[in-house]
Amino acid sequence: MDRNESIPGQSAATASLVCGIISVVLWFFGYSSLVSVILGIIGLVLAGNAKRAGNNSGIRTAGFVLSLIGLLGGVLAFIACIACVGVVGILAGTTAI
Amino acid sequence: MFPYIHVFGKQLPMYGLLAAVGTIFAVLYFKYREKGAGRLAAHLELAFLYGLVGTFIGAKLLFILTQLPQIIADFAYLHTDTQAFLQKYLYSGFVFYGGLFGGLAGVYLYARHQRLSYDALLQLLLPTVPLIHSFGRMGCFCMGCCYGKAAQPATLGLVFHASQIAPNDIPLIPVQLYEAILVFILFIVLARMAKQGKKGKSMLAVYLVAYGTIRFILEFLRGDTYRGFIGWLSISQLLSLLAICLGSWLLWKKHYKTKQHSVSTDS
Repeated sequence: MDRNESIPGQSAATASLVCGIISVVLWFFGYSSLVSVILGIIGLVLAGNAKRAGNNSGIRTAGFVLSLIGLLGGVLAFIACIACVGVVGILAGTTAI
Repeated sequence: MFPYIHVFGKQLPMYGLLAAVGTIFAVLYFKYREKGAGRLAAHLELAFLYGLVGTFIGAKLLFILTQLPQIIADFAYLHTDTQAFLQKYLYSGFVFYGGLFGGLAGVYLYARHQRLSYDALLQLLLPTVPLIHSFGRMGCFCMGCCYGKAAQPATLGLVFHASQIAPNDIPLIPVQLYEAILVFILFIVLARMAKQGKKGKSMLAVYLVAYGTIRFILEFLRGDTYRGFIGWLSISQLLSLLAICLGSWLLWKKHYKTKQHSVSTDS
């Protein structure tokens, strides 16, 4: 039997951790922060599913925390990014609305 | 006041930052409450996530509904100036009451899907709403949005000097801070009710009546006119009245049920 399958929800917990790490890394590359938001949500769902399956390991907790930070940071970076573009647009006189 | 903060050379908006801090405190709160939640403990994270997604969808949908005539008028710009159109209607503009009812609907859907008690989930998660809201309002104050009327006397007001939204160099009523403080008190009240084992729907009733009243009164102090009005009442005031009616109905229903139960046990 696969070692991961012997612990309930371990695969979901590991996947959640991976999503969390990638979502945090993607903050720093402009529009990729939108991917942070999506991966953050997926990571949180996976961490929640792992917990429901009875997994409360450190990997799951780390996945939950990193996914949450990734999601919030991604939203923040994306809004900041959009705001910057908006200001540039207004300054350039292209905003008609 | 301080619309942006610079971290490692990146400019971050204070509104989003404070809302994120509020969300982290909300997670810490339900993690603290999770210990005594029994079977529900395993579901709190996902229920909270459903609530968050519901909040975003609800807040955006109500914004679109209130701006529908303007959106139809501006629709041609979607092709000619897509960035400006999205900036105006997609990335900005959220209505609180839409978010509240969207969040409640999100948690309700999760409870239905997992066959859990909605009442028990509400008891654990409802206090997080005013907690996040309180931080969000502080963010409004930093950005200068949702600003108050000109203060009379001027010593009671606070002056913005470089706000992109609020009028600068005029003492304004700090209505955002008033709301942040009152909503934080509401969080403490709800957290105490939850600790005392009060039912989730009773807490929701108290929240709707209390917040509806706070918002209805504070709207008279607000000076921003872009919220939308029907007659002399703002849309938020009309929604506050609706929230007060809904909360009163929930309280009355609970009172009626308790009375009926005591009558049946007496006889």
